[in-house]
Amino acid sequence: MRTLAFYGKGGIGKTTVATNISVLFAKDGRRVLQVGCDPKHDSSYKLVAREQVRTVMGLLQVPGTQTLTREQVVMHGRMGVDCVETGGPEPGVGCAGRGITRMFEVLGEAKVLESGYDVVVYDVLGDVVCGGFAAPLRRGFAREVYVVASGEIMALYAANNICRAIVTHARNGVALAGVVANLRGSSKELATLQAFAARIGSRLLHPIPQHEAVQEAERHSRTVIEHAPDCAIAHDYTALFGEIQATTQEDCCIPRPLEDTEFEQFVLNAMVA
Amino acid sequence: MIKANQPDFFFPWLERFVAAGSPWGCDGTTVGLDGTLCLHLTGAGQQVDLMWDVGTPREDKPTFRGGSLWVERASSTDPRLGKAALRHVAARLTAMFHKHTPALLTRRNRELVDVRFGPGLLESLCGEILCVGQTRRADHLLAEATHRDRAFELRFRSSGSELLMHLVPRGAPAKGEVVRDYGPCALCTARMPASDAERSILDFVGYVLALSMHPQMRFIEDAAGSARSDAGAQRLINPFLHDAVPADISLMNALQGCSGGLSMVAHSDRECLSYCPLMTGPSQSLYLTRPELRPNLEFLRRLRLTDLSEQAVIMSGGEGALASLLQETIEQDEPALLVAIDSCVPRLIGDDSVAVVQQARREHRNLPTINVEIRLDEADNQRAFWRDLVRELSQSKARTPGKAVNLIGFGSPRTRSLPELQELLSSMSVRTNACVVPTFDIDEMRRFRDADLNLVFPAKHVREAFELAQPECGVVGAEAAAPFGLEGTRAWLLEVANLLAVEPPGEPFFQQRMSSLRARWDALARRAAGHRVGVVLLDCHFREPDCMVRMGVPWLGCLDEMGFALEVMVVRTHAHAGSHERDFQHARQRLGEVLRSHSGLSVTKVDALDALGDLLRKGKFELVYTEVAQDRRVTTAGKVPVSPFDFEMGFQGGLRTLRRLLNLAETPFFQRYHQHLPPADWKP
Repeated sequence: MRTLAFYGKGGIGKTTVATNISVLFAKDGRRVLQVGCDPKHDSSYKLVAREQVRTVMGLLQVPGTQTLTREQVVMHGRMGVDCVETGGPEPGVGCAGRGITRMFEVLGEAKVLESGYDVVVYDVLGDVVCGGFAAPLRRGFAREVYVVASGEIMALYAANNICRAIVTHARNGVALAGVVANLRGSSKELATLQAFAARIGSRLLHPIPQHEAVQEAERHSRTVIEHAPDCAIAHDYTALFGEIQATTQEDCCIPRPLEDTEFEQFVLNAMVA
Repeated sequence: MIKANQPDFFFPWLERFVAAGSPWGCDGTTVGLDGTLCLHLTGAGQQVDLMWDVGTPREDKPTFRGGSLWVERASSTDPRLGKAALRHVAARLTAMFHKHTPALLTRRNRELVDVRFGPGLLESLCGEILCVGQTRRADHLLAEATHRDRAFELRFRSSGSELLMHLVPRGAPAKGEVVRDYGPCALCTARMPASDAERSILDFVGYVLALSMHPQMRFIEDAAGSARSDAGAQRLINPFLHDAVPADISLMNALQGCSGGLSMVAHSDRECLSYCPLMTGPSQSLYLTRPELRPNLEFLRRLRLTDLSEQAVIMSGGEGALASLLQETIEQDEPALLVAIDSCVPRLIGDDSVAVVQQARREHRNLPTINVEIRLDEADNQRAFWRDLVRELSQSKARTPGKAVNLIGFGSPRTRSLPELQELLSSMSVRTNACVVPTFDIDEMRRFRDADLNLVFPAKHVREAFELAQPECGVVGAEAAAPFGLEGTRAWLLEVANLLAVEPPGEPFFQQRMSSLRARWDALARRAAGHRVGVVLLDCHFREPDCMVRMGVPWLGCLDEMGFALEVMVVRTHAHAGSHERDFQHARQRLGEVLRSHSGLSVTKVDALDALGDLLRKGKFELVYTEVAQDRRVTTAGKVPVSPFDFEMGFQGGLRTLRRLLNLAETPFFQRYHQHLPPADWKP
């Protein structure tokens, strides 16, 4: 079973990338589970009708609930992708990080990961702000981490931070499998991302350019692969999928995140170059 | 003392706790191979057996603490009998076992998947419960635990028999008869138990294994190795292994000992209700009432808990629960003082307890309310508590005729020597206005400012506890050497008179006081002259200015006054020999300055702790005071340990202290039984 985790700055497009990759794995005949690790529970947005989404935290809130079964936890999404949504508190209260840790306990109790999946894709909230959001790494659930980034400074900053978390949890067998470029159209973006990937000792995967089909698909609550399988961006996702599919242990590494001063220097150099 | 790894110490204690002060008696506790614990209860002529599956919740049984608790059988068909027993036991166990649930009532290693099946297996799975050479059951001792031939042997031996058990991993051939299969391994015996004692051993081992394993656990042959280690095995923490109360002055002790209309609201999860007050009881070891290993039910009656659940922590936080609980407490208790206690989890998830409590204060302006914010770097933030207590309760100073003093840190109302001190002060026409730290009285706190002097017990822990409160008082604070021993008490009285500018007691006063106890003192002192006290001091301590005083108690001078001969051993703490020699000479000089009778004094230089055991064994003394922390050499050498806790204040207290020390010196308990103690290097 391959276990992939998509991390990156908030709003960078992790869910979009992760969902399209999940669908492509499913189209390739694999049994796929996508696990949304975000209290916003929007990871399955493009695969499960909104009104049918149920979250692990929501289910646990039902009075008298002690344990959950696999059938309760797993939703069968479109395109053959099974989905799990963590859910969590309303903004500003409670502890979403603990919620994610609890969700992983539930996955274990309900034996969800022992149900014959070929690929598990973890779609994790924004930056690794506390231990809870590192749970997929902390407990050794995910082995391959893909960092989604653009050429913008804060996106690179978040990517660098995520690399630090990977180093911390490398003892669990976690490694960086590559940087996914979700381009925003800024100048020298690809070169900056390539330089960044090289500096941290990793590789840049097939870039995903901006394309209106992505927004169009989102408006219809679908993935690009489902909504516009023949458009150019779908081919880009397919190319990215091809690289991810072909990823082996040799392609993964323990990254070398930049120190703060190094990062500042890198950003300055990238702007000048 | 309860020992986690010795069920015969633990279970009787559990039975006493369940039964104490209730109409229910508990005739015994038995454990099962499947991790169940059975409590045999009697009450009103009826019998009820309650089963507790400690490790696993059962679908058809009431859930209790991650397991299930149910009535197995009852002598009456009336269902109320069983329900009453169930309610009683659940309430008792809930009240008692919180974060630091004793090891024998805890399921463990639930997150542990891969376990090496090798020599360290027992330590990985159930370290500190099944310990070779330590764990006993009836007259049997766990004598051997060996990894051999793809199995793990456990041998319990007594003088007359041996019971051999095997742990066999899944897939390996059984050794003898399989008693129970736990999933990752099976428990086998070479022969079935032949006696009740042997059956109880088998049950106990099975019970511990049931709590220590889960079906998903995998055993990995040691030779094969594994990428994942078993480093995650849970270390067991058992509060009952503590010999002494860790802190004499604490928020919980203060609240537990408080007299008056106090109500408390703790914003925490149930596990965090704090075992401390339940373990220590209201007593203070410093003040010579030994800790009691029982819960203080009055404390529990005063305390309400928001009881945060996992779901509440994740989904909503607990501000709403805290607000409604504060309101409920105020309405139902009508308290004179309300204390809201924060805890770690609400702080971590960002609950704004301060705002909630402030809102309650605005709505109930006349109710003194204290919000204790827990800080992770200061156990329970009790310094801020004393400050807030003074600020909230003490009212403006009302002058009353005569002099009055607040005694800070001189003990609780249960302290035996406190009445004598108050009486001595009153003989100088000095009124004791309030006694605070370690506990307090709400009425006394209201008149706290009606004093001329805060007399602070001269010890660091008291000083630190009260230092934030002192500026709030509007009362001058001062210290005087504590009233220990005859001369010390006399000097203390004179110093207090000086501080308060009152007429000091004259010589006739002291003569009259002493006349009633002088004959008894002299007789006891003559006996004391026939005894020696071994004193183990660290050389570095002599560099401190008050090195002859510990926790405010001038114990060395007191021993000298009582007539004991002292054999002082000065232990080297520095690697550099020259430094030790200087410290040693300094120590001799300081001892010579402090002690009045040099005739019975000997001072020995000890270059290494290894030599200390020998010195203690050969020393011609019965009592030993040692500054080597947790040093078990003393008892294993057959000597009686003494500490500053054994000393009492006042004239009468001095007499009681002398009598106590003599009794200790003349009771050859350790001398007689030290060979039965574990060796000095044994670690719990």
